[in-house]
Amino acid sequence: MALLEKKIGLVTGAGQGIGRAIAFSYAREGATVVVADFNVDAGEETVAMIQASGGRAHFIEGDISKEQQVKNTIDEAMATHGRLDICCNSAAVSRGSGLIHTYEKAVFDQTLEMCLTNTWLCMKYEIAAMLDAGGGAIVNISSNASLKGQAFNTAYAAAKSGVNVLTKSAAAEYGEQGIRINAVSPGVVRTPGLEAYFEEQPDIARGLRRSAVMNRLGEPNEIAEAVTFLSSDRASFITGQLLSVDGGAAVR
Amino acid sequence: MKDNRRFEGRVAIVTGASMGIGRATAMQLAEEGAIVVGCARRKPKLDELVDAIAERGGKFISVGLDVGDTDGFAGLIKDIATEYGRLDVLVNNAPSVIGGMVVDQSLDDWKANFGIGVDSVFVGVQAAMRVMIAQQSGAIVNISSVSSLRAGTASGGYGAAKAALNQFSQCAAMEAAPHNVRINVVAPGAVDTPGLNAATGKNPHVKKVITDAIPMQRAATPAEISAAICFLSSDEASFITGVILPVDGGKTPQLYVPSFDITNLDNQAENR
Repeated sequence: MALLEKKIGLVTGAGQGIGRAIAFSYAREGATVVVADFNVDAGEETVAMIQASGGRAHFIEGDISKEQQVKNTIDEAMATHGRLDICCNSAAVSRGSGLIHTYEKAVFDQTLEMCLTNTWLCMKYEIAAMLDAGGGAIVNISSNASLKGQAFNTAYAAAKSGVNVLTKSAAAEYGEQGIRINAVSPGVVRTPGLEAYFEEQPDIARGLRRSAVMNRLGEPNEIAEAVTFLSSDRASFITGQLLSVDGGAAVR
Repeated sequence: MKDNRRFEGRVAIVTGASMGIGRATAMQLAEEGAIVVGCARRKPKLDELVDAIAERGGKFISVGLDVGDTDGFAGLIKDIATEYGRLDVLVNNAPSVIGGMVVDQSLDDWKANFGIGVDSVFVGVQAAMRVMIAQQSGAIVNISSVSSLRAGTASGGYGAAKAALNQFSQCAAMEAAPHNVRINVVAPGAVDTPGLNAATGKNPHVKKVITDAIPMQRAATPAEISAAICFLSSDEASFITGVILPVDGGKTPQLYVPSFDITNLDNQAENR
């Protein structure tokens, strides 16, 4: 039997990169996947690719930094499928902020909104749906930037460390109700956007290029495998954890 | 769909395989296609696994060995790798839990925690790394404990030994990583094993004292621990190395963990 047979899954930011790989992995393991993204073309492309490979998926457009749109996304998923079993909150905008004394408050606010507040919003409505169904599993995508100090990336690092504590605190709240909440912390992953990001953020790129311990970058599917494991019943006693998928980079 | 025989054609060694977590791990690895070599001190108990696994179509080789015999342990790893031409997975599970309050614990008991918990693991990891680095692949999972992550009474020796195991594992992972050899740690919390049941069996309320400290309000089954061990041992975790993964129902991530005294559980249970 496939690992996520009969499960209804939701992946935010599933239009590209890591989020798309997670949606694929959920579908490959038998889940019906709600692909959520603010980018209609990208989201529909993910759905088409999943369907072409024999999986079940449908697209819901939404900017999940807006509460009403998060609510609409979850409402529509529940109306269509009647349940929500596994959710991966992957949507985030990662832009380097630069030295603290050089960037505007708007950059900080926007980063928190697109990396932390959106995760809280999604959890709020996902958990409510899961409580009705009697359980579920949530995986938040964090970042190695949340683990140690990372120069030139203060806003993003602060936002992602917020995701970690949100994950642990919520896990302590809902363990008894059968909702498991974990986070995955990717290292440097070979996504289509990586080279552009490196060009845009040369200061951050310098550190990231030196980080590899396994002498290679991670692949989106390697992040997806960890998310799929944590979402599945194979991880039925794991909650509140932050699992690094980074080839050992963060412990060195 | 995922291949449910992730270890087809692979060779695995599991220490402390006669019961609990080790037994569950040996069973799962074998069910998923691995040739599993299990060792334990109690050979007759371990031999029961040969038939149990054969019934499910798997292959298990039973070796009576105390991993405290470090020469014997290193020799076993070398011999298995030579005989089968490879070694893909090593699970260092053999437990040594000798609790005791600091003011009471003998130096011998302190050292015994480190003997099985650290020294033997060092020897096993060293022998396995020599094989795995040469073959440019392999995965090692060392079994630690939540006692390595959170402080508790009467677990100074055990907790310190497991914390040493964590740091050793991460350092070894750094050396192994360039060779596509991964080393990770699973840190179980309370698990329904013969070991736990022997410790709590006299009083029905004792387990409740333990599970009250866990957000999921229960202990793990051995299969839930082996599922994490097998995930980290498999290619699904191909970019995961140097991690310490607690499988504890949410116990260690909590800010304040309700405390209990493992030397005095009977009294506490009565007082509740």
